[in-house]
Amino acid sequence: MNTKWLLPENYIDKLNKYSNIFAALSFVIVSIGLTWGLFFTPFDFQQGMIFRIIYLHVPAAFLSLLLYSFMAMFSILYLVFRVKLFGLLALSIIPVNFSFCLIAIITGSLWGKPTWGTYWIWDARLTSMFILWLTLTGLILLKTSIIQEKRKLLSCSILALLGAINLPIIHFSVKWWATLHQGSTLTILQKPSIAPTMLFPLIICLIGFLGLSITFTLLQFHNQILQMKISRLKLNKLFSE
Amino acid sequence: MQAKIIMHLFKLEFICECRGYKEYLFPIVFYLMVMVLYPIAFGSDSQILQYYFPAMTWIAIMLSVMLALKSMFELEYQKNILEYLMFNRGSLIRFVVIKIIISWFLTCLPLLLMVPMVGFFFNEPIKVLALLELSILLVTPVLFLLGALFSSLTLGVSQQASLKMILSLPLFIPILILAVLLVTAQTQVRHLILMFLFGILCCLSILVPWLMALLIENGVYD
Repeated sequence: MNTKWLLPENYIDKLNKYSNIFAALSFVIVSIGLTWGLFFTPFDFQQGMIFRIIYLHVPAAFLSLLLYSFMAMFSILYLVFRVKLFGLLALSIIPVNFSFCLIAIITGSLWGKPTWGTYWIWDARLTSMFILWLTLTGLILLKTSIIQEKRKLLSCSILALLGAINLPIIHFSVKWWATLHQGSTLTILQKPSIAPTMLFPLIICLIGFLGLSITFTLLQFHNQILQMKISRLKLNKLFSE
Repeated sequence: MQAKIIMHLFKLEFICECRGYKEYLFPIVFYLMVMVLYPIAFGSDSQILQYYFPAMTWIAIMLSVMLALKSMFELEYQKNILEYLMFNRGSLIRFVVIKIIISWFLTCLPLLLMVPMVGFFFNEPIKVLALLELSILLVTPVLFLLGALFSSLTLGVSQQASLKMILSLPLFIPILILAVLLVTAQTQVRHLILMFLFGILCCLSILVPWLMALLIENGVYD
């Protein structure tokens, strides 16, 4: 069986190329989606212009959940198979996920002021999102403060899995409890609750931001591999002296 | 034979921990301090204080448990006791379980005795106090198990006490919500929460010692 693809070092040359391609593509898609969404969509008849923040808020919120679930998946794969590739991938998703979560919270609170009359309320959706952000903060702190590589991967994947309990709570919080937050705009099984002229730019934005997050994840992955190599070189030097 | 060894270890650990009793005095004093500060800050309106008593108690208890967890397993790490135990997973798990039980016992039993006493000063009805006792009895072991897991995540890391606090916050918040709801909710909801918390406790009590052994074996002493 060919297990060469499991070694992270093999990707180091290709990563730059792939991340460049993804960066160019996602830049084009995001700029198209955002200009369409922010300038050429019709006004909402209740909210007027302010609803256009949806084109930042929904992709960021959706991606923060998607990225976290990918991170949890990679952590499970790492814990089961102990392959460094998956652990490093899980680690490299953390900062991207953190920034998307922060964007979702900030744009959401900016959207909340004109429509709900308040920046923040401690209801189910917002609180669970805040807890997700706290978990990610903890993950970043843990990642930066542990030096030993194996221990870092193991601890971060365990913590990520513990935090993954929060994901279904965030997703179903709009259904389970009476919250200020509206129901999901995009659903897979049912017809989306948004007009098609507003829907298309949203989908374009989603795809674009997905590409952007893949770009940043790949760059971070590249960084992680380089850091691993550096620490190994240091160790080798220490032993050879 | 096995049971005899475990009983002996319990006794040994209990005596050791009792000799360093000062460490276990801090959380209790801290709890009393916070509970004294609430009426001073909120004002002396007894109805408000009575209404918010479960929430205030739980915040104070959570903070004092965090204080108690601050140096958990720290001494064992520094004296390399964990490194000796690392070679046999069974004995490592046994040690971890005994340590968690003893430190829970020494921290939370005084708290359990303190809460009704403080409650009388707030004119609390007996029913609320009994429910509070139940929630403390059920939830503090969960907090201790999670805290033990986080201390094995952060052993030997720089600024480990504050890191542990930040890591434990996102998992402590939902537990705090459930613990306060257990006291204040309607009867039907209360049964649900009771079962849910018991389930969490069962899962964690199986999972945590095993995970801690895994973490300690993989690179705490590198």
